[in-house]
Amino acid sequence: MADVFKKAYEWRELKVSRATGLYPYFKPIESTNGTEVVVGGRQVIMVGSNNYLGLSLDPRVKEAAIRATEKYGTSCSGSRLLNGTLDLHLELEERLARFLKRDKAICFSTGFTTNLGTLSAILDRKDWVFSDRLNHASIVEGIRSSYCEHKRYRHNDMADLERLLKSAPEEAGKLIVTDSVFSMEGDFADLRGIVELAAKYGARIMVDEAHGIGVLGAHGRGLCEHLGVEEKVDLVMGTFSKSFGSLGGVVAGPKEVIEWIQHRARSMIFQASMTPAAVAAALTSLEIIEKEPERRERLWRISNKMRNAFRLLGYDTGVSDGPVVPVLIGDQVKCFRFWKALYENGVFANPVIPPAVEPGNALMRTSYMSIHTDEQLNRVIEQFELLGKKFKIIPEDAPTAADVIDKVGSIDDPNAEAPRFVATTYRPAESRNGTFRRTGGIAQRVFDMVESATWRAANFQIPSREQLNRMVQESLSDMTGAVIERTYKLWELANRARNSRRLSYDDE
Amino acid sequence: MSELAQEPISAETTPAPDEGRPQKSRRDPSVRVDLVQTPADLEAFIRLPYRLYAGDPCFVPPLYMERRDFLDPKKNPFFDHAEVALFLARQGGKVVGRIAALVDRNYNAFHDTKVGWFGMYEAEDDDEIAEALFAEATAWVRSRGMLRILGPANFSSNHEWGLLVDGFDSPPVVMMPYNPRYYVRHLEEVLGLKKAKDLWAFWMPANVDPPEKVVRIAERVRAKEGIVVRPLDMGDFPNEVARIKEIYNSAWEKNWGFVPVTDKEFDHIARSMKTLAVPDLLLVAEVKGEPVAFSMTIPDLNQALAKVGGRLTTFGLPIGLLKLLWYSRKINRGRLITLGVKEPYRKRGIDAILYLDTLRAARKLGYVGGEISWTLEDNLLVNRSIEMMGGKRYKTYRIYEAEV
Repeated sequence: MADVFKKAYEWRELKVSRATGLYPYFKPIESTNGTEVVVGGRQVIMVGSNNYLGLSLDPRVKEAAIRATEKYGTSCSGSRLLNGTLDLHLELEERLARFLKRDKAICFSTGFTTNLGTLSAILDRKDWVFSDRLNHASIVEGIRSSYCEHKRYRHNDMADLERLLKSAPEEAGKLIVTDSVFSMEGDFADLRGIVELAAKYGARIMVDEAHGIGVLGAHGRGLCEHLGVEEKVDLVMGTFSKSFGSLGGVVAGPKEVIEWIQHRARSMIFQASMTPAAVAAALTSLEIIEKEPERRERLWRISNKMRNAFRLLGYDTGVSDGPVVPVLIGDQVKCFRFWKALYENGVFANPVIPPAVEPGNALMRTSYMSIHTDEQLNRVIEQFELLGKKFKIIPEDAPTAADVIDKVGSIDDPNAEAPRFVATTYRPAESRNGTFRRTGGIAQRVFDMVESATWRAANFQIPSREQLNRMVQESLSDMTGAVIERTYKLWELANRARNSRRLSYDDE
Repeated sequence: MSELAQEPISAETTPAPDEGRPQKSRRDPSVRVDLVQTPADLEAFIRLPYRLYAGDPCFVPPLYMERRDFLDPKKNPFFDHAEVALFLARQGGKVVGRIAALVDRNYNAFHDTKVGWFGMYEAEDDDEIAEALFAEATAWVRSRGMLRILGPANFSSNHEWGLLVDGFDSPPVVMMPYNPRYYVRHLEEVLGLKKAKDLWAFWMPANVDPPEKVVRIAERVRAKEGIVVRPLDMGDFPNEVARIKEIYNSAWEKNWGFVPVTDKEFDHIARSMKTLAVPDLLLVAEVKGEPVAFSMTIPDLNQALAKVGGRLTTFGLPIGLLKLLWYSRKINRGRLITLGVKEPYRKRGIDAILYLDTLRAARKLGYVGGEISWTLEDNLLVNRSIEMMGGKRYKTYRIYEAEV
């Protein structure tokens, strides 16, 4: 008899990565001032938050949440359908509909359940849905629970999308669904291409603006506004946990469609509604987003600076073009090691490994906030230079951080229009010059070694137990890190060769 | 001279310049300043002073390995909370100057300010080099959003601090900076830096009796307040360090330029001092078993270091090490580095007791005297009590500042 818990008890990977100290997830943050947080007793610069406009710590937003809690309490204790709707919810929905220039909008308790509920409500068995291969997991889950025909096109590949659209029967209902800004890669969906194809094949379009709303477009309505295709997009979805500094999600569109979703989405009917604090925070954030476009401008300057800096250093940042700047590392374990070294040097970024990205494309996802300062950003660039060279991700003779910082300039300099570099990366010179060679002959080097050994011996003190433990741990985790990186690679190769199941949503 | 230069440590093979103003290189007159990036650069950075000071009778060559460890971010915990950039000036391929620019985040957070620092300044006597080096350091500090630059600091008030502006006639004591007189001209006239603060060093002779009056007062306070002074218990080192740290960070809190010492730094400093320290000169004052003050005096290792010349080995033989050990036994000076009293116990004369006991202990060790350094020029209370004890001001160090 099989035990359902067997797989959990026998799950070795987690134990191994914990034992080696490379496990980077579920790290508790002990305190924060937005751009710098304390994690594990260490103050680090946060470049992994989606708090793009820095609103989650804005005093006005905090104040609104407190006032709402005082007035309505901490919870609505029920679903929107029954006892969980406050006047605040309706106000937020009205304001959002106006902001997004749509007939109607409704809010869900989280962004994830917004996609889940919306897609499962509007799709049925006879419908065909065309979804970008790199869409967020919530979109995949929403589609799965609707039992419709699910077609996934290659990331941003309009030719592939057209091929799939062609293959659908004419009478089937069609929906193209895509993220606007892809959360891990940071690049934009080809919405203009999608709009064209949708018109040609009679498909509806739904865009997930989770990372676009509040950030992109002249008024902050997202990528649709940025690319001028708002009127051609039927449904637009957004979340409050990113630039809105709250928690929740919204979907907006034609009145009838939204009302259908409102009464059919299981995550609307069976889920407790947004807390008063979250609603009030989102409302106030919306006001600030409307009133303070300079936050968006600053965010753009910051993300351009960082993208340019990484590219100049020789990193591959893909085709990203927003506040999310991924840095390709490649190997999964190297990515963990890189993350750990970054953290130890005072920078907190997010390692992204398969299945969130393709195998072998593990990356360090950095994302920026409008409240980052030049000094912090420069520190991040310096660490990426240092560690990139240490881990051999960028060439050893790549430009130095100082040069790069000089070139990309300051974000606070109003005159300097940040240069937009093309997406090329630094290429190493044909042959390395001898700057890395030590001076002196062999004899000199031997004498230096003796000198160094004598110094160590003269300074030797019996280390205390704690120091000994720390030293052993550090050297062990360094060594095992390297070993694991190699064995894991082999293990993965072997697995692939045996054609065993791959960790991926890719089930076609 | 012959002893100092016995094992030449020079940045380049070029001979040391003659006394007085050196001549400019004929190969390429322009000065280039570069960031230190390679091990070779760092080597040149560390070795420069050995060449610049060759022949200076007051120069005490630091141990070359100690300097390397000091500049190694992995070994020096100062780098945990600071960014440091090292620059080298070259003229015609020859290393002629160096400077460090740094931003100490702990300092800026503690004082809620935005200042950068320069330090490790060494240069040949040439205005152009001074200007080029300083321009680079200021630019670096400015690019980090700092408003002012202060220095010289190698790297903070918990390390070597200040530029010697008066008292060039004697060698520096352990962990105090030393520099040629023309640096004062560089910083004041060529670069136009303003004085931010003066630091004073006092000479305290141990071979004369302390003033009668002081002894009387100190003994009365000791009896009245029930103060017990004891040497540091080396057997209980970690706990003693923790006790001292608490007093240190609370006693210096309001001092100009102070940066709290992190646990790791304190550990590091304590460990490096442990080999050096003489327990009888590390005094802790207790009131009813609670430590309320401490004073730390260490033997002036510079007396021995001056004979060693910077290297522990010569051609692989531990000649320097043996010399160091031999001359360490002949040290007859000390330096009172810190004396701290917890806030509620100040102005009661506890400091006088500690001075007195230190003096007595030093006498027993056969010391002729020692330096008390440094004190802030405007710390009237401390300066006055040192002078009352018989200390004489004999060296002045200066911290400069400028807008960037």
